[in-house]
Amino acid sequence: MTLASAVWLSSARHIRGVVRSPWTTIISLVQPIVWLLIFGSLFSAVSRIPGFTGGMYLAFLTPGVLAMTGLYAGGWNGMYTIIDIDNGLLDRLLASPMQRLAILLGPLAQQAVVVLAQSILILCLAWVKGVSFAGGVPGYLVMLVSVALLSCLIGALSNALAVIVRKINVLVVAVQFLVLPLTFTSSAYMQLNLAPGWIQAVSKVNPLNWSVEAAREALGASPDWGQIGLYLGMLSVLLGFALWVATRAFRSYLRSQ
Amino acid sequence: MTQAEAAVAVRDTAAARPAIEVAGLVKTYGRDVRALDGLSFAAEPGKVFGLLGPNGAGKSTTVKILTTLSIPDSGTARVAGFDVLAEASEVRRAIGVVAQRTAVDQMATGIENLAMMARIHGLRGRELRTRVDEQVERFGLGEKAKLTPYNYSGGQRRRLDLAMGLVHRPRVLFLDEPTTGLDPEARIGLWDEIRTLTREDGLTVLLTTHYLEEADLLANQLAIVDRGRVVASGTPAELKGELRGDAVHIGLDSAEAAVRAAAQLADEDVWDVQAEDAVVHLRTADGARALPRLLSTVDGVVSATVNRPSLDDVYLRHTGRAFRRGNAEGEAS
Repeated sequence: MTLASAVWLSSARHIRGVVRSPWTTIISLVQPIVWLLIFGSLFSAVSRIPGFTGGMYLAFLTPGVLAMTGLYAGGWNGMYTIIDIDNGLLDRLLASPMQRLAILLGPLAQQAVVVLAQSILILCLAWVKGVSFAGGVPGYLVMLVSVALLSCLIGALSNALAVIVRKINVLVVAVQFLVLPLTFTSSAYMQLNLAPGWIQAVSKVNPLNWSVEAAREALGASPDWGQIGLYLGMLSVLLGFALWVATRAFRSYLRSQ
Repeated sequence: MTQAEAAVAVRDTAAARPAIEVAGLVKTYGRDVRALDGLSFAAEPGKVFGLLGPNGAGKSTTVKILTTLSIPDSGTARVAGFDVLAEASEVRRAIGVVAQRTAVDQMATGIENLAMMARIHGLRGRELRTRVDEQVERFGLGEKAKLTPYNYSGGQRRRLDLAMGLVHRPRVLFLDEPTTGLDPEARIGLWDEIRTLTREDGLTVLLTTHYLEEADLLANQLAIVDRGRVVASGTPAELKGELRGDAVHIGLDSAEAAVRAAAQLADEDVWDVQAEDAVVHLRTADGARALPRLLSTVDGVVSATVNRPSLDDVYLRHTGRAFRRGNAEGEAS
């Protein structure tokens, strides 16, 4: 079996699982909409703070909510691997000719599909609420790519953690621990020139911030493509590293069996 | 030797080569748990090889190493002629695995589960569909095959599991405690199925079990495993045949009484006397006749049984513990 067809088979299996559990799908689609509506009106006064240059707050917030959605989806992704460990399917696949990389990429592909659907839904909602982005189609594409990269890199780390701890409750605690600090040390909700210096410093090494900044830059009127390329490049390098960590984690899973 | 004779000799050696060869496997978990302690055995092709042992004896660890799911600390293992470490991919192509716990995709129908495994092993198109249909029929899944396993009984789920391990026609099938948790009827059905596998498909089956009866009925060859080592091996008949005479088990009112009784009985015409808790195990010629004499020599007798040596007695002989007791220890650890 070629790697490509193995990846396809593994991805299709995970996507099928999501399609067949409509409630989890519906809830995960509605969640970012709720965020956008609640946070959009709660923090709408931000746009009147002197020094804020982001324009309409809902437009400023949209890439932030998208990145947060990708972060959450990635964080929870290891859960599917824990389910596969618990029901014995992971061992069955590891003892089969299916390539390890395909086993690892299956849940990530599923998550990329879900995040993409969520993103398109959020963009539609933002459009309904009167948000328009000067960047147009290239801007939307960069936004989708940046969210997909972020969620896959977090997803790979989540799967690495999953095969090491093998307990859903540990994964839940780890995700809860990371999501809010990562979100609020980025420009998701607040323009960083209005934030304290130390938060600005932390945001420079925060991949969530790279994703938000890349999207926001590309959606603007005159995008700095060099800067966007740098952010997307850093996200890609980190994704590569996360995949390497995940394959190492799978190997340690075998060693500990 | 002529060239033709040499060729025949080479072919014969290849044919007689064991389907599974295990030598000196050691596996430790952490610093203290030595799951395998120099385990060795060889399984002939086309036969059911039974690994019998109590819970915690190292059977599942052995299966994990042989199915490339675990890496031993030392020792070697070959499956279908391939080294499990150096040629893991070849091993994975040659084997089917039915693990201790049922492993099916709960979100996929029976047919989809079977098709997935078939596809992983390179089956395509019409060949794949025919093969999947065959498995559905053979394992009596019928219309249920179109539903997800949520709708199955425990026995049906186990049959799907077994079908998934067989859909690609493996050369070696691993069955790790296949009947644990099944009701008696489903268990007997599975036993029939396992016999058919070796008879009709020429498959080599490695069966692990902690049921003496199951090992006795199914295994052509047997290795008794205790604390990570093989303590005895042979056909079930050979193993039982090594034990001369009848097995006598005398229950006493206390463990001290059992120790005393064992000492007294040692003077009689008996052998392999062992006291364990409040029971004395021994063997003697013509047990039914010897029993009244034996019972009159000791005090505090509560119960007594005489039978032909069973695998339980074989296990007792080699480990010094009754099989049931070994199981309880395994569960405690």
